Amino acid sequence: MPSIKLQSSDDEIFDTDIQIAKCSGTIKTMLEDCGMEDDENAVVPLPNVNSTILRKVLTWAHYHKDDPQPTEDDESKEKRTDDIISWDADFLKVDQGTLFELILAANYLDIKGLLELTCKTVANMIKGKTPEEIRKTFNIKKDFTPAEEEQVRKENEWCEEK
Amino acid sequence: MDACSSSSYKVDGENDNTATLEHTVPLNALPDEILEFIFTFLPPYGDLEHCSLVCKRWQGIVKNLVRRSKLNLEKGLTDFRLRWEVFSQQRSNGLVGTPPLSFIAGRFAHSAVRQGNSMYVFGGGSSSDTTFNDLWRFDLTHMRWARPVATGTYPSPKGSASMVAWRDQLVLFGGWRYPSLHPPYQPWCLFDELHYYDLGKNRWLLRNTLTCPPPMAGHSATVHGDRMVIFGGYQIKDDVNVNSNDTWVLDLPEQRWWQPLFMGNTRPSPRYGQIQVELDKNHLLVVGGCGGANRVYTDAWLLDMTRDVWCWKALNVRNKRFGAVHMWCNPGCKVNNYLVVVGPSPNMPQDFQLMKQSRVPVVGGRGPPPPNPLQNLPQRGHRIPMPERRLGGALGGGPNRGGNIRPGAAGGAAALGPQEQYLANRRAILNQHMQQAQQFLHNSNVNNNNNNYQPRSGRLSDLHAPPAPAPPVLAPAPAAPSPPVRPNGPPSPADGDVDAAQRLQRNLALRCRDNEPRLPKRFDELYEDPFRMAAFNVPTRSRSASRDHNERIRRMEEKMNAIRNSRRSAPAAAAAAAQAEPPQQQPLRAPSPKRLRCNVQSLFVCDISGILGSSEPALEWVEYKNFGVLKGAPDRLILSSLIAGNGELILFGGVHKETLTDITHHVSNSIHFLSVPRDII
Repeated sequence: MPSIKLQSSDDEIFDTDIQIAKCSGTIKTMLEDCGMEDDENAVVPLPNVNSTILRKVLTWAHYHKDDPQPTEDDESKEKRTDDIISWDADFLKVDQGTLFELILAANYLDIKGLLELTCKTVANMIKGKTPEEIRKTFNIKKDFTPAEEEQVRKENEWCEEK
Repeated sequence: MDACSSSSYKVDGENDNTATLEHTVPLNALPDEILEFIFTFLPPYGDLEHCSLVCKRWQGIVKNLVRRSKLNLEKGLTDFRLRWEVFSQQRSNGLVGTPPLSFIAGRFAHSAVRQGNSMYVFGGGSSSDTTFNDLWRFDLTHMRWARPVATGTYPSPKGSASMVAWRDQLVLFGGWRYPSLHPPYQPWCLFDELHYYDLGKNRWLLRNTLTCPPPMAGHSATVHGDRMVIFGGYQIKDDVNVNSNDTWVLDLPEQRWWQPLFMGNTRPSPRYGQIQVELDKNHLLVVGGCGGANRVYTDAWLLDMTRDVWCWKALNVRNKRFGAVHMWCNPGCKVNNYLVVVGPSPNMPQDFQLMKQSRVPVVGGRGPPPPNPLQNLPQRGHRIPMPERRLGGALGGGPNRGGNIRPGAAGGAAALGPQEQYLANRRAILNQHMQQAQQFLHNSNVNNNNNNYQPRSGRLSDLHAPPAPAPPVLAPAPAAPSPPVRPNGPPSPADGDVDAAQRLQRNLALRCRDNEPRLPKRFDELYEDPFRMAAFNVPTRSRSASRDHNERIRRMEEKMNAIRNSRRSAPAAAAAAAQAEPPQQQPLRAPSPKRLRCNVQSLFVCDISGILGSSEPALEWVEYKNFGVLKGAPDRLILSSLIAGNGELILFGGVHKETLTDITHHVSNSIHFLSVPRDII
């Protein structure tokens, strides 16, 4: 099976099956646009992804390589966040920093499935929490004055006319 | 990102472990777009509100998301690019690891209102001819039903009451109740009860007021500041069932009813079941409604409450052919600049189209003794556009024509070709069917003096019964003329025939379901063909031809529309045209798509942005796509409720119209969400 080399930001080289690498829209475009597909020795530099994250991404891509491609008008694209399969759930048992870096990597590499999965995971961490709990969970600083906070509470964006 | 790449990772740490945050990428390092994308996975209610309270950045992102969702929904509504999702009991109990939750019972004609992040549902009719007086809360954030433990003075069990939200209270007024079966012949009941429900204290409060509107049901209500304005409704005056076009105002803080003065005499005709929406503090819109048998409205009215003297104004309705035609037992609600109505598909169920046409009285209408539909049957194909004439003719020609349709004596109808004859009959049947359904709803709303159930359950045996006294099932409310009972004077022989034929017709009407392949076929197989042969002398046709029939009927309909239109300008010419016009002259307008599900709810969208601040106030129906049938559309139900959620619409409950005539009605307790398909970023 043809493979290519991916180079992480910390210069680690990953020998990767080309089909797996192509689940990334970014890599796919790069390969096709630069005509690197047939070049066994081509190295694709990924300056925005470090080796730890890239390894995780490739692990995920390997597991999901046979997933059907999502179509434009997909039934299954629901707002549900309770449909994460157990492998994915185990896969994402990582600390927050890794999770957020995975999000950034999935975004940069244009891997829709992984982006959705990771974002759903974050959404699940937000769900059911009070604003204070959310701030505590994600170490976010509150920058509202009490008056401002009261104002936000009163506003209902949904009802206001444009 | 690069700066962080050297930090060490705790591979199996907890998701919400905050210990290592200092050294790693924080959530807020993610760009706005990704945070917004994350927020799209949150229910757009409580959780999203919490997010906007986290910090200023999040508030801004949520604001953006909300704006985008609103735009997307509006765009989805005008493009008909939306989809339905169902939340049902099975689905809710199917969730892993959750104990079975309490779930609301199926119902129809209930009252529903949104308050904060909850939908409240009160009362309504059950599957077994009883009414509820329970109050349920659907938590939109967590998607679950709960029944608050309420204290205080409960309202009576009832349906078609109005319920609005005001501050932290619900205000419930009016409604109807089924008669009790024991003792029999108990009248239907209308209410003038006014209740407040205190959401904080979970307490019902019965409000007694000095003056108050008469008992009513099927009226409409909106809140404007501290006033609740109700309009129309089904009422009883001097023991007579009437529809109202009165307006009443409730001063909500003082619990005082009053009636405004109106400028001029312009006002909507009496009706019930209409859709009323608040436009602003001083304006409301009333659309549709039903004013009795064969009087289903599609007009629109603006109530201007700006000055001391109020003023009704009739609105122009543009693009009417894309409008909902059945806005009296189907719900609607407002979404920003649009009015959204759910209803039967405009193409498939022919019976509903007939309702629209019958605004020009086809059979009966109001006024003079409603003509017997069967008497007119042979002429229907040609004469339908001229009800006035037919009314006169029916009086003199009744016996003759009654004879024409007797079994085995259909020669008189041979003036029409078999095809036209068949169409005429079909039309009559469908029409009758509709009337029957409507009649039933009428009866269910009024203080009628008959038990409605006996005749219905006995319909099969009625089929072959000899001429008999008028069946009590249709003993009509005066406001709801229908295939008539003639209580005065002995029935002439012709009348007897007519009555028998009427019964046949009615029963056939109930069972005429060619257009509705999904309905049970229990009786049809046995009786259909002999019936057609005997009663109408129509050649037996196979079911597979029904598509063909549909097309023919549609052509027929088009023809009659054309005739009616021209009749308005030139009655005589139209009469000539009616006689002259060959049946299949006009081309098909829009053949129905092959695989369209026919027994589902369609969506109708109306632009109401041109009502306020315009010298020519008008509303405009948006041209639908695929007949307003969207992916995942729920089954066709009537008397359900529709409320606007955040970036979505929420349809709940309802009853299968066809089962209203059965002993047990098929009622729904599912919630259907109408929302925009997710975007891919």
